[in-house]
Amino acid sequence: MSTPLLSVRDLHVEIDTSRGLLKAIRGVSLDINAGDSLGIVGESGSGKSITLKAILGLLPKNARVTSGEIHVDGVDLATLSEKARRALLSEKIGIVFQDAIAALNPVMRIGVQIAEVPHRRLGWSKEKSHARAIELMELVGIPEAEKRFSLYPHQLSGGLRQRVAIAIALSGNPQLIFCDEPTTALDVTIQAQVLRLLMELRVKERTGLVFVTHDLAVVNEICDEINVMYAGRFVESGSVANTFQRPSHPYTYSLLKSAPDVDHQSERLFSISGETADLTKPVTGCPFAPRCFAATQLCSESEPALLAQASSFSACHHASNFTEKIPTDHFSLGTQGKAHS
Amino acid sequence: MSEIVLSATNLSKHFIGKQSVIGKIRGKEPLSVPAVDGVDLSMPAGSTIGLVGESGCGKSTLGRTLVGLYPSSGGSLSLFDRQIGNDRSLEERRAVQMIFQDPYSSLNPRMKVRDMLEEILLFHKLADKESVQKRCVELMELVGLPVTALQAYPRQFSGGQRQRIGIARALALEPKILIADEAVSALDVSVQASIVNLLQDLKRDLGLTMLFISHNIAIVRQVSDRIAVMYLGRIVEEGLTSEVFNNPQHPYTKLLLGSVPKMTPGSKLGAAPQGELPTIQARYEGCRFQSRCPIAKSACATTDPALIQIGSKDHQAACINL
Ligand SMILES: Nc1ncnc2c1ncn2[C@@H]1O[C@H](COP(=O)(O)OP(=O)(O)OP(=O)(O)O)[C@@H](O)[C@H]1O
Ligand SMILES: Nc1ncnc2c1ncn2[C@@H]1O[C@H](COP(=O)(O)OP(=O)(O)OP(=O)(O)O)[C@@H](O)[C@H]1O
Ligand code: SF4
Ligand SMILES: [Mg+2]
Ligand SMILES: [Mg+2]
Repeated sequence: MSTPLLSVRDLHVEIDTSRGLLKAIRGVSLDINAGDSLGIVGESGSGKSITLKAILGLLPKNARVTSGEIHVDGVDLATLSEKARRALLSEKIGIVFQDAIAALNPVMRIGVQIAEVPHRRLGWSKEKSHARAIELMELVGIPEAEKRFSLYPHQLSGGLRQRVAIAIALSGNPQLIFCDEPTTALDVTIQAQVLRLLMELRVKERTGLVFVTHDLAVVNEICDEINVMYAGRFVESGSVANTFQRPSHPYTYSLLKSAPDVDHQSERLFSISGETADLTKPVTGCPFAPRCFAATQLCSESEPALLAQASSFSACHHASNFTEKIPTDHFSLGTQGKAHS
Repeated sequence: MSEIVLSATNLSKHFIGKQSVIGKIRGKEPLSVPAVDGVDLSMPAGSTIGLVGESGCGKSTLGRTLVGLYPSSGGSLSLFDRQIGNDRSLEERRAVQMIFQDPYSSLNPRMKVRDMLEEILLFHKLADKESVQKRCVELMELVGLPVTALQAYPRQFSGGQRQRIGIARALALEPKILIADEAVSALDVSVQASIVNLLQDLKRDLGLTMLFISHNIAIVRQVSDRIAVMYLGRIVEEGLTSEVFNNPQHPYTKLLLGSVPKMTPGSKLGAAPQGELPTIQARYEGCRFQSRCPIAKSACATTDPALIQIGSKDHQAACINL
């Protein structure tokens, strides 16, 4: 096996909050090779963004990595100086976050922002960087790139701004792109264009992709692998094909059943009652237990580890037989959910 | 056919844009933004109509004009076969209620849920001093909140619970029609499911008619009996949900539905419309979709297509090339 582009082992992150010390990430591991595309899903607050930020060294001031190893192209980030670490990360990984407006410099022409990396970091001439910026703008589907080069971010629509953000992410020829809800604020039509672009890059340039989203259908369209996050851990990891067909964790099952599918009209959506675990308090059992239809005594006593199952990895004591306890009556589950969610 | 409870005929809402200082000096007409521009829509009793379309196409403006939050600038509206104007009676206002995306911004933060509901019920004389208490409890039960919620302030609730309070407030007025504008868009997937289920239950149990506005086409399909597709201020396709999804007619509908990510194994995204929704113009020549349309012909540049029925189906579309 070749060295993965990115390898993360047992990452832990803690955050100081007004409610106390939050164990936001509690042991996350992942590997990405060239051309891989990995989706991370999970409800709001489960730790998706903090995971990406921890890898990139972009954690907020009140947060820190407390243990774990991160290797980029085989290099252990802990062995590098701050400066060398930043250089390596920005060379290898491009970032596209949800809020393109925040990522762009409002007083700098968009073309100049795209040309900056080749010019400043790769040391290219002004002309060559300019030409590269135009090329990237065309690549991400910005019409009339030459004309738009000198516009400012506020002069563009949301969809175009997000494409500028992607062009900037690509400007250093990264081997890996981190996307955090890059299309959530976009129309489905524009989303489809952006997703198609990312898929093309993967095929043509073998760019690796880490894609954080709430939308399971987006994962189905563009990812091969999925990690389902719950309360700071991956509770299920596996191929999209297997996991969607035969989930090995009750949370994954519930998520899949609660998302409407545009191809089908179901009688009733599955709803997950209750609230997510409070990670400022110690975790004693499975953090999903209070909301789980398959929970037993064991579940509230010990936290299950992420272990290999028939078709994926799952952190559930009852991974092999929870399906026997799936409520047949969505109806009662729905009414129960009403009072809490 | 069931009774039509609310219908719009050639309805329009034009905003008068801000005028630049120079424009004023030169005596230019202020720019008109026809956000809703000739909409025909009928809502059969007891049905849910899903309204979809790209950001800025006029969905919220249409919803707000139907509720009466915006006066219309043209066309007509009728409620149970009676024309209603821009000055609605108290009863007409009660009949059509709205649920918003962010219930928080529409709830008074300094008022307990009970006080808020009581105020509405008493003002509209839907309860008196004796019965108001009982009605508040009923409303909580209706939206699946514990009775103790009446004693709390809006900030003490989660997003899903706040949306339930927003729904309770709308229901307090005993409306016939609910307009839900992106009512579940800000919620997490699992919470979203419980609110969608609640709306479906309420519609069935109370016999409500609903306009469900959302950019999430999968959810719209889940809740709607009928679908209306909007493009630049107009309805370009309308019909039974199964008809529109299984047999879309308008080239825009085809492209829109083709760009929705699917859960089907091995699905690969279809063709998305090129470019973005053009900005609204004061006036159009021909079909509004021609600039992005893959099947446009020369006649499309001159003919403004009207909604026409597709065969003998309960389904209509506005395109001259069908
Ligand atoms: N700057 C911060 N200060 C305090 N707590 C934070 C901060 N940033 C994140 N958190 C907390 O860390 C946890 C993980 O947050 P994170 O942003 O990773 O969630 P997420 O999965 O990305 O959610 P979303 O889907 O809403 O983006 C949450 O409990 C969140 O409240
Ligand atoms: N109060 C207003 N004054 C002037 N123009 C407005 C006003 N409200 C909306 N518009 C314009 O009318 C058009 C339609 O807006 P509307 O909010 O109805 O769209 P929408 O379909 O609801 O979009 P979204 O999906 O983003 O909510 C847009 O061009 C918008 O800029
Ligand atoms: S470990 Fe128990 S509580 Fe947790 S998901 Fe599995 S069955 Fe449910
Ligand atoms: Mg996030
Ligand atoms: Mg709107």
